[in-house]
Amino acid sequence: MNQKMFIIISAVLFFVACKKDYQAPVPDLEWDLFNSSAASKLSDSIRQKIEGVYNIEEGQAGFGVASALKWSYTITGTDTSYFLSFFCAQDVSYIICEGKRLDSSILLNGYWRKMINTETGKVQLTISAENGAAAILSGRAITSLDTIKITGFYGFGNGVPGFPLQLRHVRPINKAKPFEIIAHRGGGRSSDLLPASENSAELIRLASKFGATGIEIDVRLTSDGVPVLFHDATLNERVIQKNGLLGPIENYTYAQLNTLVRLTNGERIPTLREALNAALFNTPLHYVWLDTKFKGSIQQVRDMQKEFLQKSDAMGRGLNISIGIPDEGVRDNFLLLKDYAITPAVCELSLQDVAVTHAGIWAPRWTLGLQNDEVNDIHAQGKKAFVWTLDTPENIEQYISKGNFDGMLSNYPSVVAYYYYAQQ
Amino acid sequence: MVHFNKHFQLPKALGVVMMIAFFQNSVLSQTVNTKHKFIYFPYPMDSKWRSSIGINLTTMPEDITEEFHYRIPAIDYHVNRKITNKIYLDGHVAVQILQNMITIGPRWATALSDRLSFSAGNDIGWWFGFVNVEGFKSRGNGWQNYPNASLGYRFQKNLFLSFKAEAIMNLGVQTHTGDVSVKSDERLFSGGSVTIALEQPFYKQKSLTLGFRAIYTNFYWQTWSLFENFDRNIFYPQIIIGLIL
Repeated sequence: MNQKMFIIISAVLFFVACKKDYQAPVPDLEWDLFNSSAASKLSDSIRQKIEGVYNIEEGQAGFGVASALKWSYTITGTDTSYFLSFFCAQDVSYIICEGKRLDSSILLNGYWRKMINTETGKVQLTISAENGAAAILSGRAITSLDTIKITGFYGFGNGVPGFPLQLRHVRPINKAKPFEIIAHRGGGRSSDLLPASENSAELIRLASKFGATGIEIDVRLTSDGVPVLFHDATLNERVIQKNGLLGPIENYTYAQLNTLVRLTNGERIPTLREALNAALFNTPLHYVWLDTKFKGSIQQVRDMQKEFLQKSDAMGRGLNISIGIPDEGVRDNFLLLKDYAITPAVCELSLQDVAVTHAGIWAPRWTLGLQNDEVNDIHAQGKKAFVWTLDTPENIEQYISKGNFDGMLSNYPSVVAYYYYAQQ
Repeated sequence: MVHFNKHFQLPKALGVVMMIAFFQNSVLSQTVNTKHKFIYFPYPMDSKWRSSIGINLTTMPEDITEEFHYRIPAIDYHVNRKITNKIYLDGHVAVQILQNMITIGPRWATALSDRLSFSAGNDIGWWFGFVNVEGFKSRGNGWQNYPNASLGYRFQKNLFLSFKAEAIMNLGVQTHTGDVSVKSDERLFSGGSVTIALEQPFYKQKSLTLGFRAIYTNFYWQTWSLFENFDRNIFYPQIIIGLIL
């Protein structure tokens, strides 16, 4: 009996002590109708008419009562791909689709994901001629008399979509007050099981699909002085694939990291230059927050910031890049820059430090509350205030509806996008 | 491929407990010697009170704490109060000063044989915490419910082995950050845990509890101040050490 019992208990303990390997891979997006040669790309004017706030009439169990729909794009070489993102509040869910025209209908093909867990699946939607496609495809503007209804199905995993989803356009998205939606670590954390690793160039290219208008990235220096993106103080399996290397990233040359280290999804650790190239040339992002994670001179980062700001100006892109000042050590190094007074910066310290550093943005921690009086003081000085890092949907809603901040840093930019764009 | 099971392995664990009980041919109830001391062992109480004091150490997972792997000990006070022959109250207080939890609930316990015993119960728990240091003005509290079942096996030499399975039901979390208060929705299936505890004489009249608890939950109260939203069960291993008074 004793042996039997020990075997059973040992087996149970072994079973429960095993760590689950969670994954949420993007489903296969094959849809014959969508990929048929008869389907053609949508023009800019057609795409714009689809954006808006929609009530969800069927599928509320999956996505809540409403969704904000907004287009973004990714540029690869000379090719630009457009994506329609559906931002939903429930369970931090979003849908990302590509759109095509087929005869007198519009097809939307993509996938959905719930960020709080691993649920994902295919989405296949249609705007038929009678449900608004005729008006959208016509040359005229959409009026309040036009009804736009998106109908179709969503599924789970790679399964055939079989659950009905129906949305009805109710109003345009809110753009009344400019608001920066800043994705943490280039788009989100690796623990949120996104299609690319945190702080990778690949994730930066995806960030706007998740609702981001800007990104925050973590900058460290390799032992040979190359600025790279990496969050943690040391190499570890939370952020990289197992390779036997240990210790601070500052102990390795860039060549060593480039050769030996791969991020969790297999990407290389990007240099700051690669990251800024991705943000500037491949995305519609218009803000980059460089979170300074290293000690020592920040002149090299300042030089690169200046170079990319000039490139952005030359392109007419309007990309803003701020050097982050998270602590007193970085503040002191920042003040050693000859041109610190005109260097765009985001200061996480006190209002006095914002004044001393001439930072254009004050960025307090969200756990201090709304701080509306302090934010109003900052506005009175012609500066902006971004709050970090909010992930709880209930708090995001409160900070957007009751706060005066000009931007918000989050691992869930899709939730920030929903509450901002759906605001009336 | 999606690897996700919202409902944890608790039914399987409970199944094992029940299976062991069914395999017993003998259901003779024999008294465990009263000089033996235990607090996890599921057995009808013969004294009015019994209690233990110790610590529990929970390792925080990297999904929640990222690069910082820490294990903050909680002072752990455990007390039982006899109600009837087979029913007693089980109370538990875990104190970390900045965050604390108290649970209480009834147990029905019975001997299945001279060595095997079983209990079933339900605990209600309330936790609260506050962080008021530089950069934080946060406090939070919430209710949890823990339906549970335990199976105990007594070895010949005053050695008591207990196996406990419980479901974790999160009845809502309320947090306050500065001037903002929010209440999160309840999650009735918030995971579960299994505990194996060994109890034996230690020093003079005192006995010792050594336990391991495997917690799989989408919300563990000691992580409230990190404001995570995960709705996937994450593993929190916990070591339990207690001196039975």
